[in-house]
Amino acid sequence: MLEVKNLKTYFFYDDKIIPAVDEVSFSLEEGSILGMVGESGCGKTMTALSITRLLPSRNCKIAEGSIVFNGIDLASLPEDELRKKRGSEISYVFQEPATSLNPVLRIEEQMKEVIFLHRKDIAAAKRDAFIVEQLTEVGIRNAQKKVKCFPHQLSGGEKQRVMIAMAMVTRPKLLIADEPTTALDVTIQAQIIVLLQELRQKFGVSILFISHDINVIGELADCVAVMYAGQIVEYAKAERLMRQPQHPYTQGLFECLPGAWAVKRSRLNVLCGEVPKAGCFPQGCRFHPRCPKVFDRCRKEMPALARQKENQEVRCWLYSGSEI
Amino acid sequence: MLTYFLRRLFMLIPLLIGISLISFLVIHLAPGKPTDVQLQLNQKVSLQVRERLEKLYGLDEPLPVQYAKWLSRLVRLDFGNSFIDNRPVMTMISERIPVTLTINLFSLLLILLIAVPIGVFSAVHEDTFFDRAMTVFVFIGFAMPTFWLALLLMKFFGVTLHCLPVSGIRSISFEYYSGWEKFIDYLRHLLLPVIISAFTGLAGLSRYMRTSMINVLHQDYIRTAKAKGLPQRRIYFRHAMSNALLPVITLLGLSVPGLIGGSVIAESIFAIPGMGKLFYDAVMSRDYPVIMGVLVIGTLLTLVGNLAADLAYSFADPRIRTGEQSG
Repeated sequence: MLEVKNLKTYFFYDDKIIPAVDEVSFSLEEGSILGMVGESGCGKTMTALSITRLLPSRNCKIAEGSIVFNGIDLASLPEDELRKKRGSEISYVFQEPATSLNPVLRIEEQMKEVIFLHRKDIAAAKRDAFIVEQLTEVGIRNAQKKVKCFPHQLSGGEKQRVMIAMAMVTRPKLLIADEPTTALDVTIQAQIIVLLQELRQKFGVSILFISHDINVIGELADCVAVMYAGQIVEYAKAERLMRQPQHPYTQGLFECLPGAWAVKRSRLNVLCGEVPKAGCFPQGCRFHPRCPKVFDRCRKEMPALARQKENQEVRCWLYSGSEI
Repeated sequence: MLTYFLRRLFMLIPLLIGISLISFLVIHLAPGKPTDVQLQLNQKVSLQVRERLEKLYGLDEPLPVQYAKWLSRLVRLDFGNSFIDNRPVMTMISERIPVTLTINLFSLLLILLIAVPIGVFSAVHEDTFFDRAMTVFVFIGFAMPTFWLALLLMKFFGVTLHCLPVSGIRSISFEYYSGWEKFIDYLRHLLLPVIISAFTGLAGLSRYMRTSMINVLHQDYIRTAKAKGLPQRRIYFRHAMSNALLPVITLLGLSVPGLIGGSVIAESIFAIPGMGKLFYDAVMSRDYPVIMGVLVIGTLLTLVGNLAADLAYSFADPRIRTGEQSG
């Protein structure tokens, strides 16, 4: 249903080009959930925004690659055509519910404009009732009253539910959830994840779920793509990846977690260093300065994604497999 | 909300007294006396005459006493009489205030009508040729002395083209005009003063609007609006402008004193019988009661303008209006 191939999203400045997303390929089947995981600043959000070209500035462009969505290449679609897909076939839920809703417009109005635009099948007279029904469906209590509220009058969880309801009213085929639970506390986080699972079951929507929390991803996703420095470094079925992470970076992500992986040790491991900034990637494998298993070749040549057993793909010199 | 309003209104009183005290002191400490104008040119006037005049005006008393007397008359809404032509200050001001308010309101309107679209357009087309051209224009506007621009416009429209009057608010033959012609005549006289009063404000506000709009366009909720597939028109006008205009309301309130100050210059140049001209003439002849009267009215207008802006802001921004905050 969604097939992203060799996507390159770059920032073009007068004196330099900065790659934010570099040769990213993945596919998403109907009704499935793809989890995308990685630290902050490794290109997850930029990948998500690239899909409908919601890029943050004029300097930022898709340089290469294709994004085929139900047979249409979004990367080369004119802006006008693409706009019609936004919100109707492809919806977004963003990280910060507090700032993602317009502070001066009532919930009602923010919901209504999507319905007005994309759901012509709902008669004007029925819109109000429909909005209340949709909000109730995503678990907002007292929705009748809440529609008249401004965003600041709702709690963080409620705001995120409004965002989800707003994204789902058009019954999109693809929902892109960019760290939807990061700004929420743990109990609300769990509720939102259950809600997304329910929505998938009920409407068969495919979800691109982005998070830096590999546990959340493991719980929710069918497939997982691990991103580092603008590239996918590991790609596998969720169950396989959770059982047997192969890339040292993925292993590092697990070792940072409190819980089962850390039980044998008395203290948590920490991945040393930080994600290199786009534009100053090291030569060779981009992870090599932080990699505990680094050897000579890593410093000189960039590894390609190579297919392993059970279709697990890894970008690492430690593993040999058939190149893709 | 009502208690807030009443409290704000109540707070105006000490503020007004403070401002009047300072201006009273400044005016009286400035060199020159009202009697100078009447006496200096006439060498033959004796010292006795001067003292008699000063006694007549109450200028021989100590300053605090003068101020107390002035204040006690003020609370009875009596601004006293002009030293120069002995008419009540209240009457003089009420004659002059309509034309000044008209000019200021029109120029405020003109500023809003031009500056807001320029600012919004510049922000939407940030860093394009239009935006850069506007930046240059705005800085020229900031830097240009108003009186000089006024003289240039007077020369061009009044002398070269002969299509607009250069001074006053009515033509000599005004009395013979029909009602409609009177109206047109009035507008023609107001055109240049309004443009001049608006000019500096235009530069500032458009710049401010641009910054505010650019700031809003980078907010997350604008990205949400885009992700919903809304047309650009709706994103800019409904989602962005409703937020970007909020700080402009405050700015408008703060620009009231500037407008009143600006009308002193504009009215003097165009010889328009308004508050500004009245004030200018009164200062030149050290006509204390008139100066103080104009200052008090100006202060009052400024304070009321600020209060109105604050109120308008709280009505426009639901986060302030609805008050209560949850989770």
